[in-house]
Amino acid sequence: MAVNDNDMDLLHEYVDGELPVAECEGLWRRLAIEREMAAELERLRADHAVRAMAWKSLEPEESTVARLEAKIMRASRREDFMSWAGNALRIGASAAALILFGVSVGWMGKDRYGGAPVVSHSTPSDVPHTASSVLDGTTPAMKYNVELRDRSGKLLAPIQEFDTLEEARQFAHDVQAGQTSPGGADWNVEPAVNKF
Amino acid sequence: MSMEENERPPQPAESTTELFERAVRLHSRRLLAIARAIVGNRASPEDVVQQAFMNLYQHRDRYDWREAGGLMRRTVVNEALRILRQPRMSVLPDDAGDPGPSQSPSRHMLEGETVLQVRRAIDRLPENFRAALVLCEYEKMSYAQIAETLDASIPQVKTWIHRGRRQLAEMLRAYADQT
Repeated sequence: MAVNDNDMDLLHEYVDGELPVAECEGLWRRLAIEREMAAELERLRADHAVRAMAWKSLEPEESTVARLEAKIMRASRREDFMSWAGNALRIGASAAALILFGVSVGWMGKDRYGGAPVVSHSTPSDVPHTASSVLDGTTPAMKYNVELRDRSGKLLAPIQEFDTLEEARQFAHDVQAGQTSPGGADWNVEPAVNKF
Repeated sequence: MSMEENERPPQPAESTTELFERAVRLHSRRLLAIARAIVGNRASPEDVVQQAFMNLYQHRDRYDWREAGGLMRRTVVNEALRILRQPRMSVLPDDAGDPGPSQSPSRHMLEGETVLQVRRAIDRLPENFRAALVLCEYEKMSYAQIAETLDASIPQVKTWIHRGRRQLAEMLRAYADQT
């Protein structure tokens, strides 16, 4: 009686060690009495042994393995370098972009805030002076004035100039005191101290 | 897996590159044989293994290189099958004539001829049959492991292996009758 496909699958699984133990016992009993099945198993085992030689013959020689390993090591180091170079390029490009951004912002800001920094325009001669002129002592001395205006903002008297802030404040205080004192003049004046 | 069992415990300070290089030295011989079994003379097995390893190395930080045998085997098998599915290029010279040393010249010749015939027959099998057979018989992998490696079901793997053997037997019958 020829061995059918199901039994052949059973034998293949047995040869490959994939048959569960419970089924192995059943197979052993059949092999003991079914000669064709036992012969088929022997044939499978013989074929397996021949193929084992073929698989073994596929194993490479030492020189081939060494050559392959060297190629892989070289390629992996090249990959390391390319990876490092890629990262360095990315970092460099990021730094360059940041610098470019900073320069651009500075360039745009230049027009908004002017050139050299101006400390004050409030000099008596109305000539602008720079930080360097302040530092080297060529800046004109500060002056203070007191404007006497009414509540509508109309100038009531010539602007009074003073050399110090204390003097200007004292003058403004005196004017206010003169207005609010009993029997004082009713000027309705609001003195304002300005620095120039 | 026999390969993993033989792996030396890694040193704690080993870098990914060092672990990779150790895995290459440990597995390249067998993987080269697997690649050779699958691609036959349709492509260079060395190129297959190298390409597979470099594919892994490009994403080296994703993997645990201390137990890389299974990963490398799966990658080499997939790379070999991928190459076979590309349009066929030039056929490489057949180097199946040297099956290794044997006891006597006549036996050497007979075994060499047998191995050559078997390898030629294996080479004529469908690619999935070849891959499943080499993993089963050369790598001694279980059907479940082969199914995982080849991204197939266990019944499919059984079918490939059983049909592969049957086809090999039919192909070699004529040669067996002659000898």
